[in-house]
Amino acid sequence: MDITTVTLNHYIALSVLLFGLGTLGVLVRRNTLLIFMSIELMMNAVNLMLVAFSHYKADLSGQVMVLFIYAVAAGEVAVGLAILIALFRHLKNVDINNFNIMKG
Amino acid sequence: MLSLLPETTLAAAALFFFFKNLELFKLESKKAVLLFGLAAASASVIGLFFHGEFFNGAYRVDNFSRFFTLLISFAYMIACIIFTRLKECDQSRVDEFFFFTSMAALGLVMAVGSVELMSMFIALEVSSYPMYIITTFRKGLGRQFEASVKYIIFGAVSTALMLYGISYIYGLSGSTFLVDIASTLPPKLGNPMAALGVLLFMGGLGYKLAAFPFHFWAPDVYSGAASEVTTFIAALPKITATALLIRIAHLFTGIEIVPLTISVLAVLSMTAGNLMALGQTGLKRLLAYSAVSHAGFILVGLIALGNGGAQAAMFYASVYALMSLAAFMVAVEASGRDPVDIPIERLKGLWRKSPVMAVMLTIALASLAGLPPTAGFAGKLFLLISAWKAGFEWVVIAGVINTFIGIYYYLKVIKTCLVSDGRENGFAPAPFYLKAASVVMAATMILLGIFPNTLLDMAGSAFRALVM
Repeated sequence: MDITTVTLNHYIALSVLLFGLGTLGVLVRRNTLLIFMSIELMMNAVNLMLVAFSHYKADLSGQVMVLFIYAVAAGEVAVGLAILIALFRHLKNVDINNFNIMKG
Repeated sequence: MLSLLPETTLAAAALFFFFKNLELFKLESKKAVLLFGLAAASASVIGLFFHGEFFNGAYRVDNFSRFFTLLISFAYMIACIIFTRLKECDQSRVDEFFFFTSMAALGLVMAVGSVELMSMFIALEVSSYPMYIITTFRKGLGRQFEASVKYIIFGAVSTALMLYGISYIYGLSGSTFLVDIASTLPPKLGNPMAALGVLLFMGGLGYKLAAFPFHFWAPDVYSGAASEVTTFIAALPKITATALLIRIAHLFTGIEIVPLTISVLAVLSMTAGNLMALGQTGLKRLLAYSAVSHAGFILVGLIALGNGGAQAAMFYASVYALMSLAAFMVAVEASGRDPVDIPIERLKGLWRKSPVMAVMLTIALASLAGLPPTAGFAGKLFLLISAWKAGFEWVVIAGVINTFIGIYYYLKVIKTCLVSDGRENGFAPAPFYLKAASVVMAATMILLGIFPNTLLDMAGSAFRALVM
């Protein structure tokens, strides 16, 4: 196999890597804003995968899905940041270690 | 046009409250929400008789989707009856609250009718956003925002997992329509991508169901949000999650690893939920962990879809929604003065103050515990029988052991509300329609336990619509 051609497997590998990085970020980051950024990374891994499949299968519906996912992810972050701002007004920071009033 | 009546009614409710928010109408909000709840329930009954296909085949109205629409609409109606009390919710946001709940119910109904992966996902998101937002609608300061942030982070992560699953399924089958997937997939079921895709997709739904290991949001959201909000979050999304899980599990029945993984998660979910519930002193946290263990029981139905598991899971989801609404109806009556959770001691002397509520709570908790002759017992029995038939004996044994553990903490609450005496708890007398509703709900829980066949047959015919 020619090493210079990019195949579907390369895209899948990159997407798995991105998704893994995003998951790792969600698990280890303590700042809520960075957690949201990591979630965006996971979403982009999904988008990359869909576009790659769409290209190699010559079917456009994958690319349409990407547009939907962008819109939905933007909405999710908008709601999330609004709630985060409301929380910030009470706690004065967004470090997740402080979100421990409720336990058990 | 009549086949979209339930959806139209819920959309009309959402639109009404949206414009009510701009002060265009004079009608009192709490009367209006009761009206729309009744309208949605009757629309869903009419909707049972009309079938059809819409949006280029992406939305199908058949027996299966209409069975779940009926459940969601009735749960919405009971929730609306409870919403008229609104004790912990911010009173200045009543119209917004009703708008968001109607919108969430609409999203849940749309999700069970979708037979295309993307529209399923969009409908689920339409139902999720309102629930993230209403979690913050509580009087006072602090806890509800923390709960909401936890809810949305877990929600967003599980959305990403679900989308990743969708992308694998799409990559494998080249289509997002379930009909096309069902026809192109069978030769490729051995591909690990299929197993990975379906398990990731189910993970996203497991979050809605609060199943292990996606349950961490549940206790905090249940106790941090206002009791009325918890009522909604505890009952309605679980019905939709069950519907979609059955749809997806049915599509991928050929993969060996899927039932195996689900059975492990089901047992872990039951056990973790029950063990965590043992030590709880707050009513809402206790119900949250009990929800985790019940999610495990619903998952048991998925490992034996063909052996009556689907019908049993559908029966159990409907019964569970009813039981949890009944328990939360009392929780809403008891709430209003606590910073976070309702202490179980608050229920002391409930028997004296409000015998109707006390009897309904007792029946609801007995049903949650799975004691005969309640509906919860019948549901658990059908689930475990189906798992036994499918050859998962160890799941049955774990289920029986967990039922015994559960009895302990449910009986503790029953004892508090029936035996212990408390003088200063001061339950406000419930209005007439609430008492009537609780009598009807208690009677339904008993009747479904003695005569479960009507609902079970309905679920069976609904599942056959899916198989065809």
